[in-house]
Amino acid sequence: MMISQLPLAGVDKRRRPLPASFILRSVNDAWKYRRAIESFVTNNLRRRYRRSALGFFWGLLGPLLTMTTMAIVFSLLFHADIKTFTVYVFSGLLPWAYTSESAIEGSQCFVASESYIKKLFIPKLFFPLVSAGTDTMNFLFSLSSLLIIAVALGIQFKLSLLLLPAIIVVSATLNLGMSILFGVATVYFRDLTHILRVTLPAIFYTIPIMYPATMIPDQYRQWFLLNPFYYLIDLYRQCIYNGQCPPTLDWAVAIALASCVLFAGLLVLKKNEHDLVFRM
Amino acid sequence: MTAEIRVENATLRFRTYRNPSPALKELIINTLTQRRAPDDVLEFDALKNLSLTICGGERVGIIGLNGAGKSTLLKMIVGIYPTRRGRISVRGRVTPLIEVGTGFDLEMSGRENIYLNGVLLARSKTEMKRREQQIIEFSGLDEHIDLPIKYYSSGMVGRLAFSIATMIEPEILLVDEIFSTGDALFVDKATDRMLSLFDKSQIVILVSHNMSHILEFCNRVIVLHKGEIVNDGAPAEMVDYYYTHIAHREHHPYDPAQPPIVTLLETFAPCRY
Repeated sequence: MMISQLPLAGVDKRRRPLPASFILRSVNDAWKYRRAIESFVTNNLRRRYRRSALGFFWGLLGPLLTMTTMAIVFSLLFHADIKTFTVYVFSGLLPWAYTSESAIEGSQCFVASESYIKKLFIPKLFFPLVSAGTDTMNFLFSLSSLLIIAVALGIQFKLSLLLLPAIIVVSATLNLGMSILFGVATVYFRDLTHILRVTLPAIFYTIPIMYPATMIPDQYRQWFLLNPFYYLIDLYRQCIYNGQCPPTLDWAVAIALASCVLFAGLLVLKKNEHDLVFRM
Repeated sequence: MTAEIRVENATLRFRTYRNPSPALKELIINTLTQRRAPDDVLEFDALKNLSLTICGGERVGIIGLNGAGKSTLLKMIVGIYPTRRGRISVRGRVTPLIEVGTGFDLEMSGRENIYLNGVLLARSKTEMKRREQQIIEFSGLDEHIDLPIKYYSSGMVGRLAFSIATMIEPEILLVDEIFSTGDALFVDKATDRMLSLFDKSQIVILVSHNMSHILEFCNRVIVLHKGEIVNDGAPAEMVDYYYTHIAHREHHPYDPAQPPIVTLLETFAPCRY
């Protein structure tokens, strides 16, 4: 037998912003629905690879083939050193794809779940968790492909690779935060997804992903360094490509970014969670 | 511990917007050009200052015209609609039989959908494992259970949904006009199942337009009209009241000579999945 106190929309304003109780409730909700999250993420992945002979193996094979093609094309066209170039580009490109996909897909997380929200009582946090979880699993697939390619190309991995899980946790935190933030915002402004779709590629080119950081002219460098995503991508780059422990500044900026975005997301969710169902 | 539902001065306000989701683009342009967008909010209270206490043992029927707020009240008790003012406290595990079949995935097999539905209703995997066989047996789907449900007929989907939703030990049961589905064979089983669920539940709230159900199953009836409780009391009196004061109909369709169970053969509202 349980006693439940249903949420009340009207009385929330008197409370402090984002009290510890809300965070506790969020964690509790996530834990209570962990099985549902797990099965939704699995279903999302399975739906993608359903009815193909290789099944989940496509998750690995897809990025593998794309990367191989690009590596060959670039090394032939630009005479880049295939070994270093491939690993350089993809150690930045994959994390970026993960981040921007999470923002775009995540922005749809509530809007696309309208029928669930209107018919079942599920904690609202469930939907961004599923969205971020699916993207994270896809990222793990493509990252594994990169590591396979790197091994095939004869790259020696350093101990720094052991830091990768920690970096992924930072990324996942950021992406969960973005899913919540953009997900709620899209309920109110349905064109946000489209706006993200055009603005994110612009940000992409301000980060040294397809080009080396040394190519940035010195007089503009300070502007490039203002972009917090620069440091997040650099974390991956240092860890996978350079084989060294990323500098403290990278960690500091990335962790600060991730926690701020998640905090902002939870704040926005708390403020609006009782209104979402009326806006569907 | 007995189940209890307590609603105090609850008001549920729907806000409809002429432009439900303005574009961010418009907002920015309006702000920049100092043009105030007209306030297009249309508010209406689906439930007004509603107070209600339901204790263990009560079988409450809710009757009223379309749009009176009956289903909304159920959804408010489940927690789908948050109240604007007031307080709701619910003691006991709530099992809603509202929109049965929500969350079905057409691409997945019946068996997979059993688990998917289970997790959505926050049931544990062990509980679902224990019930899986019962659900399959009850639904009568046999060997079809491992087929993607997009190949099912709507009757089969309905049977599966009903079997999952009712394979429970409810404390508080909320029923919104669903009684049975499928062919005559299944309807008998389903009716028995509903009756046994009613027996086992501590509280049943039944929303129905079928007065014979209301009279047969309920020991208390609430008449809702335009979001307010206009009367609350013994079933026979309330049904009379409903006909004379709300529905303005003289004719009383309930004929005690005919056992109402037979009239349970209503078509199952096609579930959305």
